[in-house]
Amino acid sequence: MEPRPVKGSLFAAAGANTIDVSGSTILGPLEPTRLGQSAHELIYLGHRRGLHNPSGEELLELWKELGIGEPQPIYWLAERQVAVSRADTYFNVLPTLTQASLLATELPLAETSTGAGPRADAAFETSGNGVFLEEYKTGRLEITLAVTLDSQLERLRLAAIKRWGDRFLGIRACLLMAPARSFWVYSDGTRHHLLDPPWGVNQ
Amino acid sequence: MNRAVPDPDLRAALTRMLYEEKQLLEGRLPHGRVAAAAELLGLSRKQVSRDIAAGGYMPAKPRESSAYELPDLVHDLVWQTQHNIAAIHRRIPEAERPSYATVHRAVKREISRATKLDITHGTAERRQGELMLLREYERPFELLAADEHEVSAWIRHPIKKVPVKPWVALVRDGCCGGIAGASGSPDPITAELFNGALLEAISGESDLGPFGGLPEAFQWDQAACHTANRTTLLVCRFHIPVFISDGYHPHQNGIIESFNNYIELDYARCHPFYADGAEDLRGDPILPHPDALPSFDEFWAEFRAWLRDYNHTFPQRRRGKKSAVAIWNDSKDKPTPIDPLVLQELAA
Repeated sequence: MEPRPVKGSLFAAAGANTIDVSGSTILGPLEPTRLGQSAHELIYLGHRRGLHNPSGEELLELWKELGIGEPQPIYWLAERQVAVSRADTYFNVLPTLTQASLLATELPLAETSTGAGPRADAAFETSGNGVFLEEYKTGRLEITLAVTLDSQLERLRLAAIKRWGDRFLGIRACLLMAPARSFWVYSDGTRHHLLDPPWGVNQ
Repeated sequence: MNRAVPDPDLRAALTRMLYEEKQLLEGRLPHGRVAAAAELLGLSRKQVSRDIAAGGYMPAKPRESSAYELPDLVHDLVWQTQHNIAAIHRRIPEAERPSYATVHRAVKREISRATKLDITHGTAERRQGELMLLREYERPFELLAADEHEVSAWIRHPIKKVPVKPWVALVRDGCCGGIAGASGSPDPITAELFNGALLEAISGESDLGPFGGLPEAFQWDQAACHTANRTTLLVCRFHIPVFISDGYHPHQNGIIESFNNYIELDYARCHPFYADGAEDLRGDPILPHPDALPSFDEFWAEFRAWLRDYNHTFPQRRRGKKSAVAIWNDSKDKPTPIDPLVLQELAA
């Protein structure tokens, strides 16, 4: 993908608009207005390293391994902080996946005529031969997120049922900017909170 | 002298009766009758005499509708004129045109800030506005926003002994609007000072107010001290999500960015060494002599006292004009307090 030039930013001033996120398949070049793009990559790398409850120092070390380089422009520092914060929420706040192994990341579940089918952020296999998916949301709590997330999860669920049948257990929707709102979507479409929200109200 | 407000019905009946008596007596109403009525009603005799002369007291009718409601035409004009109130006022037909102030108040009341942003900046900005500016945080410490600000007041630099403008880092609660933590320096804010303000906000040991506990999220902009290693490690220590506003979009900082304006209006302009004051003919500021300036310690003691005063007395408009401390005290949903041992460990 041709990197999009970014005008008038520190990021562009540093001549960094042509650098790709290493290993990224969908994220493309970092954009100053979309902080947290590399959080997905950081979480995948954490899974591959088998991290459980990592500290902030470990996550900062992991960020270096992403190969984005030593962050110098201010935008990179902001990107690093958001990515580390989201990965910290994922590994330390959400329930740990002890009985599951990573199957794939950025897994396309179906092909459509336009080529843009549903794509799972991560797929896991449980010890009981079940499969579940994970969907990460790392940006802001957009007002439109609820609508887009609902339709995205529904597409993922239908495609996963078609692919895995009874083996499919559900989807973990991880809202890393507001972990208390994260939830499970079971294969029958019902939902359940991952965490009890601190204010005691089920949405 | 404070007098109790008399019952309007009693006042009307009594003064009407005295008026009729005065008519019967052909204007020669005994002075004692007026004095007795004045004593009964708790009014001055002069006031009762005026009521009688006017044919009896007439209670004021309540206004049927105190607020001017915008007609449909004006709702269209808001869009056509890009929310320009003067243009809207000009285009209302002269026969039904209220004053400019009335139109201004009505537009401000009836056209929401989100719609205004939609009109002036488009849908994307409106969504940001709904998210960042208009959302009301229901629980204390649902969001803690932090920023630093260069105060427009001259102080004497402790080492260089020259006039400088001090820097402050402030942490503000999105719900009650109170300043929960603050740190300051004659030089630009470092990550250490910024973390000091954050820790003061969450420690519960601040003298600024009763605030304290673990927030559900932090929000700040892309300043170097906000995104430094030290700050990143601090937020990871407590597992608190961070929201960082986009570059060149300070309005996304919301509550903390707007507080800068309040510092300018309510603190800096009242300061004897206001830094945006006297200028020479070239527009350069006329610097006061350093010996006349307050030291940083003097400024900081005064500024913290001003912050305490703000927390305890300033009426927060979105919350029934209660002070930040009152809102905090009234709230039943306080954030989780921090283990003092963790704070000791961080302080070490």
